[in-house]
Amino acid sequence: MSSGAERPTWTSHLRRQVASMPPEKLLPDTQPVYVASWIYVFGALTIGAFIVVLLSGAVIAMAGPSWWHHSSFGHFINSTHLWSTEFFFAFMVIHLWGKFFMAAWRGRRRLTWVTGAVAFLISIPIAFTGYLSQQNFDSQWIGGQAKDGINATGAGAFFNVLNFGQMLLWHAVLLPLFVGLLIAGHVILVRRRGVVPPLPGKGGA
Amino acid sequence: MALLAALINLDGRPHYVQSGWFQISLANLIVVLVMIAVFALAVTLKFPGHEEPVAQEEVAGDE
Ligand code: HEM
Repeated sequence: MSSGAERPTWTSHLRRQVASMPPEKLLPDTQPVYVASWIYVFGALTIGAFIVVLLSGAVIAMAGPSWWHHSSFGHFINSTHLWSTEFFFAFMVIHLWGKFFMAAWRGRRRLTWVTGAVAFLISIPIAFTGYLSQQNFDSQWIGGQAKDGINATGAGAFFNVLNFGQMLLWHAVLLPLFVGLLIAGHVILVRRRGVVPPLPGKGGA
Repeated sequence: MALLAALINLDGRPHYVQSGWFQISLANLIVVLVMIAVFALAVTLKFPGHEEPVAQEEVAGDE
């Protein structure tokens, strides 16, 4: 076994990837001047709201429907879960508008845009399966309405909106896991490429 | 809390705004308008702590 020479293995590939992201690049404490604008705060605000969503959701999932429907503290955490979701979507969409108007996919940042867009698209069924997980007449009614449309596509065989356990699994585990991984990849890509420079202005920036 | 709840009655019929084929609940319309307002403020308001002009070279792009 000779050492030193790079072999075309997945371990050496991964080692190079990790080495290209040292801690000072992953967690910088300075940024170019143009980043001093409120619009750049919205990605981090989205992460903050997402963390509150995860924590409040974990609490109500563990305590169960009778707690979140019948105790005042349960109501409070349930409401925290709803409102942090509202903020998550609002911050995410304002972030999207900002990145759209600065064409932030320029300079090999296409995948940053795509991971963000896919995270957005997956967040929508998280909200939908959340409405199905409420365990009240509202969620029963929504499930009853949704089943015919979904069964008509054939997906009802493995995605059954009347099955609370299955909907809660998608809502509380699988889909948030996908979005969490996408956000991690998204942020690593931003750190790797650096923040996109502003669009050239008319008559000099 | 009861005072706050009395301010917005959630038990009544929802309000809708309609223009031809386009219809939106008042609640959703308010959320959309607030989001647009927050976006406008984020783009126009000055970010604190950056009064002194910084060297222009830093702005140069990497395109
Ligand atoms: C799931 C929710 C999302 C989170 C948590 C998130 C988080 C972030 C963070 C922390 C940044 C760096 C700071 C900043 O510029 O704000 C960022 C940058 C970026 N985001 Fe997102 N984002 C999300 C969704 C999206 C969506 C929906 C899009 C567009 C479709 C998007 C497109 C971008 C782009 C293109 C950049 C890079 C900007 C640059 O290189 O300067 N993101 N995101």
